[in-house]
Amino acid sequence: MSNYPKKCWYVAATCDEITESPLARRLLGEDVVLWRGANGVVSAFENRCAHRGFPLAVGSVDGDRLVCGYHGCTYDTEGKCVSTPAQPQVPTGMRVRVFPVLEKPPFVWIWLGQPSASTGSQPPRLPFINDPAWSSFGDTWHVNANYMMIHEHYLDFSYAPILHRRDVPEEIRTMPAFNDIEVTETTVSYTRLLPDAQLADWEAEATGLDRTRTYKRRERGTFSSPALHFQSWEVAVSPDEVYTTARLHAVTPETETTTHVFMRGARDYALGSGLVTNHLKAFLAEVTRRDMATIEMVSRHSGYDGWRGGVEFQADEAALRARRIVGVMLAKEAGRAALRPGRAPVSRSDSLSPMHATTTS
Amino acid sequence: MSAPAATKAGANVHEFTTELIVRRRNTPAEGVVVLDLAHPQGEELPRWEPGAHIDLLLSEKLTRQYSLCGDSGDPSVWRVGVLLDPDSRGGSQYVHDNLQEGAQVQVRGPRNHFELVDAPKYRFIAGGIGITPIFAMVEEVQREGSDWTLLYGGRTRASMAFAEELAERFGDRVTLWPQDERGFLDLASLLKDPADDTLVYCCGPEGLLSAVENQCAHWPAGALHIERFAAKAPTAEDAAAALDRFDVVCQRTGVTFEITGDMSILETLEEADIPIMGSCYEGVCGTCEARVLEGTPDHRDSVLSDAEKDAGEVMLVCVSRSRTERLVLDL
Repeated sequence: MSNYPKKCWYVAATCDEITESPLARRLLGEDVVLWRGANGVVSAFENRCAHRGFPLAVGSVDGDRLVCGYHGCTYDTEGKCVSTPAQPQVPTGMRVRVFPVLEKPPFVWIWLGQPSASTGSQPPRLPFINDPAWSSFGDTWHVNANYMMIHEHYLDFSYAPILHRRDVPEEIRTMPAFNDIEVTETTVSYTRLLPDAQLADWEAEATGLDRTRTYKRRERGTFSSPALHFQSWEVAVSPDEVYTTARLHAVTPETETTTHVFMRGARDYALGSGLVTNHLKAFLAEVTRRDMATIEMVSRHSGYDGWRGGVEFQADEAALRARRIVGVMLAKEAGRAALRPGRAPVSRSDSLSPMHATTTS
Repeated sequence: MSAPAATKAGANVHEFTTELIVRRRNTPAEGVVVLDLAHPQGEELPRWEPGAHIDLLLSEKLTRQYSLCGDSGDPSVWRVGVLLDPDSRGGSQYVHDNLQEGAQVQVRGPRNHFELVDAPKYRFIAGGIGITPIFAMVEEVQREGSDWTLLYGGRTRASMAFAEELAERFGDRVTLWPQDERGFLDLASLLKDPADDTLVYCCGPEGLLSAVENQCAHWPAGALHIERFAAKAPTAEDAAAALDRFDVVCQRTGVTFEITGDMSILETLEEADIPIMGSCYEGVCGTCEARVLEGTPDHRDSVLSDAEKDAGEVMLVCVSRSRTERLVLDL
């Protein structure tokens, strides 16, 4: 049993990854082929020809059709086989499974649940993307860990002075508790205010601010959906002037134990400066390397069940709220159970171990 | 940015709270107003799922819960339907008198304790204004292509909000049952044959909820989902088993509180700044739900089902107490 809700839009790829050369990618355990027709429209199929199960990603795009590289079965954007070189008539009803997709630059989103359920839902709105007040850049990576470990890691920043000691201002030796946690049915956000402190190296180099004085900071983070995390780091020069560095992580489960992450980093200062972009890119790449190495180490050593089985801190409040939101989504998808979503024992509602939420007494 | 707050036990945990304006108001049935609430600057509102409700914070002392009844896929508006209750404790009277188009109202939420669980088939039963959450559910299951029927009762046809729209859009799936024309709802035939692949959802007045509970007694556990908006009266048996004095351990925070007769668990925790949320303080809204790690709660709420109370995994700390001297909560 997996712990990712299927009735949710996830990022499948960045727009520029999908071309007329079909792309194979495993998403939520499904083997998917993503391709772009000559008309520019993106489609996502099960990566398996309906004839002999040949991977369609090894095929080619011909106009607005995808052609299998084995017997030449040709599919339109609806997944319907429209021609087979071997015989004049296509076998009745021959088609491949199609997944709903939405292209909203910079991402292509995919829906891997029941297709009819996708129409009532939209991907979460992305902050700072395509907003002229921000400069942004992207990066993607692959992590050998369950996707919730990535969410939960980012929803509790209390490890920062330990794991990223040089990147947290010298005077801040422990992260203060969250000041505010705001919940809705489907999201959780936190705010944390930091004591006055001088700039860390990366902050000084990115912002160009005066290193001799101290600044107030505010950190904010949001679990928008199982597919999206957002975080911002604000350095206040004065009550009206704030330098914000932000990032969003589109988190897409590949399998139960591996995850794709599509990151966008952004800032609302030094707009258009290639130097600052390169600096932030290098800085975030290094921070990410340490973050992911840590998560992967726990994943190898203890797995997600070991991760989530530990003692929780107050600082885990936001992560626990996110876990409950996901647990309710999973329980709803699992169908009838004696106890309603959220009221069953945690291990039953979203554990990775085999579970029988649908079993009733 | 203000200075960091003084050290306290934990964060201020709260639900999304904002001021919205009444963008549209109409009266689709006798005694019912429907309000479309939107952000004054047109900002998107938090997403919700069918079965969700919000608080309207009408005045300092007047907070009321109303189910969301519009299209859960539309983040630009929250729609509520409010029946003017002749025995109003002030909430519905205030809404009817004061929330005209353009008026401002503070809202909080959304939260959901009436979740729409996936199933191949649904039997929806609505009584009067109980149609509001059911309408949102019907929209969703229709979109997903599930099989469903709705039995919708009311005093008279004219008192039944959305009756015409439902019948027009969904035809045979909807059975309208005005009491003055057809008598009491025929629950016995609707619920006669339990089915493994069918869930029953019911919202309406207490009489209807109890009747449906009785008629579903022979259905599989977890098949029936109901939502109560009025507190059920505690029985004498409940009162006898209660402890006057017990300890509540907040496990994550690492502190213990003694609870005595005159204070609720929620009040005690709030006073000590333990991060927890509350709204109705009478066991109907479900906001203060806490996970129980050890001990046996003495459940007094109207949200949890009997099976959920027996399981004892969660409790509502605004009204519920303890049957054991020590209760360990995930706080």
